[in-house]
Amino acid sequence: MSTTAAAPPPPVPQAFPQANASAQPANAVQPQAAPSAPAPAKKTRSTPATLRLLLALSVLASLAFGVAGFQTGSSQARATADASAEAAQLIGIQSVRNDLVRADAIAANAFLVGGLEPADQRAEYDAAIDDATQSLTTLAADDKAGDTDFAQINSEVAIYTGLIEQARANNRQGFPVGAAYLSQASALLNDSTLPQLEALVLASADRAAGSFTATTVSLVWLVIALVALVALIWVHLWITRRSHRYLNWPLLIAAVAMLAVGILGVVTFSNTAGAAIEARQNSYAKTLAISQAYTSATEAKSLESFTLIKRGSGQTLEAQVQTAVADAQARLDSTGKNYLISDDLGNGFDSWVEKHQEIREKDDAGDWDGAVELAISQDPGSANAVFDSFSEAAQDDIESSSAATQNALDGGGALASLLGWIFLVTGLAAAVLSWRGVSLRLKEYR
Amino acid sequence: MSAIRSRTARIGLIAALVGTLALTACSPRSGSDDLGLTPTPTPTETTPSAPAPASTCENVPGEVQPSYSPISPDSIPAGSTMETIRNNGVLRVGVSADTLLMGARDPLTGQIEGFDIDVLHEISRAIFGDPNKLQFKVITSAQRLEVLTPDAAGNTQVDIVARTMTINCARWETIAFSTEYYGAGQKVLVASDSEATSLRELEGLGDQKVCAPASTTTLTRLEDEFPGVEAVSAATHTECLVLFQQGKVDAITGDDTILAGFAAQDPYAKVVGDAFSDEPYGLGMPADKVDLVQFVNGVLDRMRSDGTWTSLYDKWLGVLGPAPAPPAPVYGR
Repeated sequence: MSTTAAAPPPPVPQAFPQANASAQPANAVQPQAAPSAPAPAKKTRSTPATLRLLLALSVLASLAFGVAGFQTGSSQARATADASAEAAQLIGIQSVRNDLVRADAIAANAFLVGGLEPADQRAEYDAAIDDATQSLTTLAADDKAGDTDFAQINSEVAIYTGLIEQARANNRQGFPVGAAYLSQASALLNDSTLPQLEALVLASADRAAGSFTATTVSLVWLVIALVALVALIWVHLWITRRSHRYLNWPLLIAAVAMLAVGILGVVTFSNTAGAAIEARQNSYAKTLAISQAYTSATEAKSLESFTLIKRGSGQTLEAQVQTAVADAQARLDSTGKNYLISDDLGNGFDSWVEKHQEIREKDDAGDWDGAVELAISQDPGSANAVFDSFSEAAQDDIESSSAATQNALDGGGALASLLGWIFLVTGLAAAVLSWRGVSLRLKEYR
Repeated sequence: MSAIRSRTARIGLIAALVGTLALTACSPRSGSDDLGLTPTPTPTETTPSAPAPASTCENVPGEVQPSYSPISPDSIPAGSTMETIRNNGVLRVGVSADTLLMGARDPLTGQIEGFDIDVLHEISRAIFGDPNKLQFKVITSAQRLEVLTPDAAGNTQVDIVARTMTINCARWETIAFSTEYYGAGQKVLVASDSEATSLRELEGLGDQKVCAPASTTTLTRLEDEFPGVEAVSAATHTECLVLFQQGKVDAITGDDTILAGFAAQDPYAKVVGDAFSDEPYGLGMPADKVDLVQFVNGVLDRMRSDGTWTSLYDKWLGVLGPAPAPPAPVYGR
C-alpha cells in the first residue's frame, strides 16, 4: 500500500528504490552519517525531495485511511442490513409455506366433515389463503435476488384455490368428483408449489449466510486503513527525528486522531462482526429452528386429515407424519445448542402428537367414524385446539427471536455506518493536517 | 514512545482481526448449514403395484373364468376362514370411495355406499348376522391385487375386494374370484355435443385424448386395440372425470356402471354406443382362501335366487334400464 501511495511522486532525481523507504527508519536515526554501503541511492536524494515525497505519502495515507475506513463501515452496514432483510424474507417465505399447508389441511379437514363445511373453518381457510397471497406480494417486492418464482407461485396459488372451489361446489352437491378435485389441488401444492417455496427458502438462507460472512469479510478494508495509519505514524516519526523537533502539531494531531479513530474502529467493527456471528448462532439459528419445526408440525397436522380421507390406506402417509413429527421434535430440542427454546413449546407440540396418536389408534382399530370425530372436533382439549395453541406459541417465538436477530444486526450496522463516516472525516482532516505539517518542514529549506 | 504505542497497537489490531476471522471460519458457512438441512437421499418411489406379470393365459371372449363350487352360506364350518373373520369381529373390505353407484362416499352422510358395498353388506350378514360389520379400506384400482397379496407373515390387508374388478385369467394367477356378480361392459363417455359414438369414431377424428385408470383392463384394451387415440392414465376413474371437466382429455372409457355415475355428476357428459367388451365383475379374495370363495359364492347364489340381486340392481343401477337376469355362475375350478 505504501509503495503504491508513493508511486506518483513530485519530480524526483533519478530512480529511487521504493523498497528502501520502509527499511530506512532504523538507519535514519543518524542523519546521513551512516555509511551503509548497499544503499548509495539515499545519499543522492536531497532532504527537500524526500520531504516532498513524504508529503505525498502522508496525504495519500490519510486519504486511504479515511476511504478504507468508510468502506469498512458502509460495507459492514450494508452486509448487516442485507442479512437482516434476508432473514426477514426467509421467515416470510416459510410463513407463506405454512399458510398454504395450513389452508390445505383445513380444506381436507372440512371435506371430512361432509358436504356442508362449518363456517368458521371456511373463514380460517380464507384467512390462511389471504395471508399467503398478501405476503407473497410483499415478499416479491422485497425480493433482492429478483426471482421470478414468486410470480409462478402466485399463479399456482390461484389455480389451487380454483380447484378447491370446484371441489367444494361438487362436494356440496354430493358428487364424489369433489374429492378428486381436492386431491388434484393438494397434488399441485405438494408437488410443485411447496418445493418451489423450499427452493426460495434455501436460496434466501444462502444469501443471508453470504451477508453474515460479509460483515466479517468487510474487516479486510479495515486492515488497509490500519496500514495507512502505520504509514502516517512512520512519516511523523521520520520527520521528527530528521528535523530534531519533537513537536509537529498538525502531523501529531493527525496521527493521534487517526490512531484514536483507528482503535475505535477496530473495537466497533469487530464488535459488529462479532454481534453478527453471535446473532447467527443464537437468535437467527433459533428462529430458523422454530420456524422449521413449525413447518414440519403443520405438515404433520395436514397429513393427518389425508390419512383419514384415504380411509384405511393412510399407512404410507402416516409414515410421513412420523418423519415430520420427528423432525419437529428434533428441531425444538435445543439441548447442546447456543440458543434456548422453552420446554413449553416442545411440550405443546408433544401433547398434539399424543392427540394424533389417539386418532390413529381409533382409525387403525377400524373405528373410522370415531377417528374423524376426534380429528374434526374444535372443543377445548381436542387435537385441533391443542395444535392451535402450539401454533400460536410457535409463531410468537418466531416473531420475538426474529426481532432479536434484526435488533442485533441493525444496531451493529448503524454503528458501523456512523463510524465509517467518522473515518472519512478524520481521513480528510488528517490529509489537510499532514499537508500542513510536512509543508512547515519543507518551508525551512526554501 | 509513540513507536512502542504503534507497535503494541498494531499487534493488538492484528490479534483482534485474526480472532474475528477465525470466529467466522468456525461459524457455519452456507444457508443449508444455517437451516440445519441434512442431505437426505431421495426416497425411492415405491410403485403402487408391481406391473401385472406378463401372463400367457388367454381369456375366451364371452366366457367367464370358472370359480370354486359354492358351499351353504347358512352355517360356518369350524376352523374355516369365515370363523376367523367372525372371531375378529369385522370383515375387512377393499372398496372404492369415488365410483358413484358402485362404491362412493356420500359427502353429505360420510357413508360409503353403492352396489358393490351392498353386496358386501350381504356377505357381512351371512357371516355375522349383521350387515354392518364391515371395515372399509379405500383403495385405488391399481391397489386391488396388492391388498390381497399375502405379506411375509401370510397376512393380507383385506379379506375381500369389491371394487368393479373384472374377472380374468391373469388376475386368477395371483388372487381368487367369486362367481360373476355383475356383467358390465366397456363404453365411452364424451362431451354432450360430441358426435362420436365409439372409440373407433374418436380414432377417426384424430388427435383425441382418452382417459382410463392405471392398472385396469380398460387401459390395456385402450392401448392395444385403439392406437389411433392417445391413451391418458389417471389414478382413479374420478380423476379421469376431473381431467375431462378441465378439457385435458376428450373422452373417458370405462365400464358402463362407472360412466353412468359420471354422467349423473356432469350434465355436459353423455355415455354413448354399445358395450364393446364384457367386463364380468367378481369379488376378489386371497388365492389361498378357497373356503371363503366357496362361502361367498354360496351367498351370491342365494342373492340371485331370492330376488336380493334384482332389488339391489334396481336400487343402484336402475338408471341403466330395467334389471336383467342375474349373471349365471360358472363353476368348475
